[in-house]
Amino acid sequence: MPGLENFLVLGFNEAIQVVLLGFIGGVLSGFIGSGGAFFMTPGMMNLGVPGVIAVGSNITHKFGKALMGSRRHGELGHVDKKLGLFMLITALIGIRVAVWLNATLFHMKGDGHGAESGSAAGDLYISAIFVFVLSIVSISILGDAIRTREKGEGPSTKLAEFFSRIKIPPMILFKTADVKLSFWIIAVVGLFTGYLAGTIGVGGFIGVPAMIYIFGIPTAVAAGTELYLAMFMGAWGAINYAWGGFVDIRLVFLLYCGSLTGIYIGAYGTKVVKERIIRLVTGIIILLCVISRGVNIPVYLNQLGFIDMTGNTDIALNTISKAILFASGISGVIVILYSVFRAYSKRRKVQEVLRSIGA
Amino acid sequence: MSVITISRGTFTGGQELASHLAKKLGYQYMSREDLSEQAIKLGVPVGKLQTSMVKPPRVYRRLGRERDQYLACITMILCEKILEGDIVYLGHTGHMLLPGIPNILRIRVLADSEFRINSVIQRLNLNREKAKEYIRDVDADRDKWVKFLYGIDWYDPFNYDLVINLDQTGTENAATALCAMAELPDFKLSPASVKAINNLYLSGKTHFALLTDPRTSFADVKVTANNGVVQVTYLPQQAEVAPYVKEVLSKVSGVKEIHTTIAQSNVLFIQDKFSPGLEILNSVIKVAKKWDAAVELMSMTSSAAPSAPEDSSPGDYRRAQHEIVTSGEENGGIEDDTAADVKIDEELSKCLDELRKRGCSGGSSNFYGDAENLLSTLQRRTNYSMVVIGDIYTNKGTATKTRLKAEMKNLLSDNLNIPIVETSELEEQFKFGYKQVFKLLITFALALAFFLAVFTYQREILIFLSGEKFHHLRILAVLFVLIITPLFAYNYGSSMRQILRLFRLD
Repeated sequence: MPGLENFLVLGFNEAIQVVLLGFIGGVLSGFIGSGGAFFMTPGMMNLGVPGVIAVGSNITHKFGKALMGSRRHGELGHVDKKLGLFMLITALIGIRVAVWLNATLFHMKGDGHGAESGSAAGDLYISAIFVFVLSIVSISILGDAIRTREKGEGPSTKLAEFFSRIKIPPMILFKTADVKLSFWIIAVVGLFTGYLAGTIGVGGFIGVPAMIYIFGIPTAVAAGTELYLAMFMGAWGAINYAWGGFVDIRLVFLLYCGSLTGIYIGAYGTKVVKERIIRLVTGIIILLCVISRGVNIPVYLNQLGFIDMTGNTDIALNTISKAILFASGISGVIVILYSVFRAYSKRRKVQEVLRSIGA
Repeated sequence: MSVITISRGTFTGGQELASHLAKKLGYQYMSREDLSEQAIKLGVPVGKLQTSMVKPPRVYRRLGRERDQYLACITMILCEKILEGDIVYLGHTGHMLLPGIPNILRIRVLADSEFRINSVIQRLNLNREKAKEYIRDVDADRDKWVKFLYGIDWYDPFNYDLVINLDQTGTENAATALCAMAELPDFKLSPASVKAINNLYLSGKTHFALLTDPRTSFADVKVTANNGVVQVTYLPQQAEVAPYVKEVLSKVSGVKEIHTTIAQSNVLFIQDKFSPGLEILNSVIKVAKKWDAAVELMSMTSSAAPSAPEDSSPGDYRRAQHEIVTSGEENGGIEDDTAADVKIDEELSKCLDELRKRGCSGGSSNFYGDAENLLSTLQRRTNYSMVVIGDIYTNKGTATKTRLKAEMKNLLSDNLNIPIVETSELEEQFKFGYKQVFKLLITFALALAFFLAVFTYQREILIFLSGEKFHHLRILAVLFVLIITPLFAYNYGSSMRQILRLFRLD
């Protein structure tokens, strides 16, 4: 059971940094349409928050936002509630497994340097999963952005066609998504989505593409269903992490202070920036987040005694990691804000022209 | 008055059916080739457009202006022909040239591939492989052409009232069946439809005039016409076109008034009727001003949309609509405007005057039909930044009206990539008034209270949440997190949204 020593000592500087993390994560989240955990979780870890508390606080933060977003999709009819509920059955198991693993590793003591906090094993595990999953995600996004597709050409249906041939009973018809799927395929996808949401807080990066490419359902329905699912997964994740005492409510509030401002600015950005640029910016930022987390892995290996680092190498690596993370986030946000304010000032100029000619 | 449009693949026998049907019914016959020929005479580069179809999409997508010119021209010619009398038109989804006009009989002709191949072999003297290749290429070109012009899939049977396979039916039988169908009241143009065709004719004619005059052809103009009043909207960066618009249009016959507006896009406001002093119009104008858009008023004839009984078919529904629209058609289909119609037009004109005074008139249009017709109409038009659904289906009970409005909103939201809002939501979503200031203050105060409480008692809260001392109260700790988090998120998020709205960053 973690004591108060596991919670970050929050001075003004730390609080501002968490708000900044939330703001950058929020702008990116509004711009990309994901939860922003890929930036906020490693950012908090770089500030010294143990991985399990960073994930627990982030998943709680995500739960509140998902609660607000899913209503809108529900109104638009983009949610296949039946599919969401079927995926939820195994997603909840996935989350429980993830929380159990994170909590168990958190309590494992390393033998190396600086392992007194006891979070090195958990941090290493979270970082490794983060690097593995988000490397694939960022490369796919970048590949997609670079490949020029014909307008109107939808996502590839090859995988969906393959999986639709797997007819292991029971087969279930989902009317909103207009697909008939084997329960077992849904169960496996749900399990992985839940596991990743519980481990690193980025279930949507896996859930949405899986629904599009494996289930073959329309993109809008996939995004809406994922948001619906995220509400329950977030709640379940929050319950599990809160039960273990791994939610720092102060971090959640500070993240909201930044993210709920940033998310609207990011969402405005999607109206004024070309989709290809959005994908490129997203891909590059996620890749830089992956590199930043990767740089920190030797620090955790050192703490666990797997490698031996001399001098202040671990401090230097942590600083480099932090610098890459903030540089990627800040430069991404600058690109987005620049586009937003350019569009905003252009609109003001047009209004002035209209006024000047008395229209 | 009747309009029958026939679409067909190459060598399906559609051409023979169309000409035979026109003869049997005593209607005029017109084909797409006739339209193109007349368009060429008027200077439209039809050949350039058609040959671009065989090139990669990036080549023909550049020909947007030529496409607009072609569409304006053939709309004008077709409407002119329709206004002369009953017609059978043979072309690729010709009914798409008459968006939002109901009671057109839309036919698609099919034939078995063997029938088509044999026809090509006999008539073009090609071998079997070449004939197959010919049919495939011509169909693919037509498919691309229809997508380029109207953005629809011409193979989709939902675009037609009837799909006929001539392979077994034969031309004579099909023509006989279609003659009977054409006599149904559902497929006779109502006076309201004729009025809409007149408006479409004038907007096509004026748009074509602007697109062919060298002084105005470069501008991205949007033209609407209603009872001789023409509204032209153009972009602020093309302001130099302004003096020439009136000069060019003053020479076009049928134009009574010309109005121009500068705008980046249009906000479409749909209501059954518009009356001067309409309070919600002010909110729509404010939103439009904020977005540098013009406001287009669309009058929806809700009297033409009676409730469909639960056990009725869509056909019954259309018939019921038609009966209302065509009531009093004993005068030969020509109906004088009633006193009520004149009053509605006057009130609409006053609303348009108000828009003009405020510098954001996007013109007016009439719409007759259901939500699906509206969608196909809007899909053909471009440059809308928002659709505002006002008081429509006013002749319905509250429950039916709410359901029909929600259905229309969902249909448009699912298919158009722009905000679709009801007037009740407009103030909530886009306006910043006293109500919003009050909401901002309340939500911000609540968020601040939560924030201060958590940070003032952070040590105690963390001890409670960590479960170290209060192990037995863990369930309360979980409930605390689950309740306090969304409450703070909602209040803080709402206040931030209001603040950004204040700075017009929503």
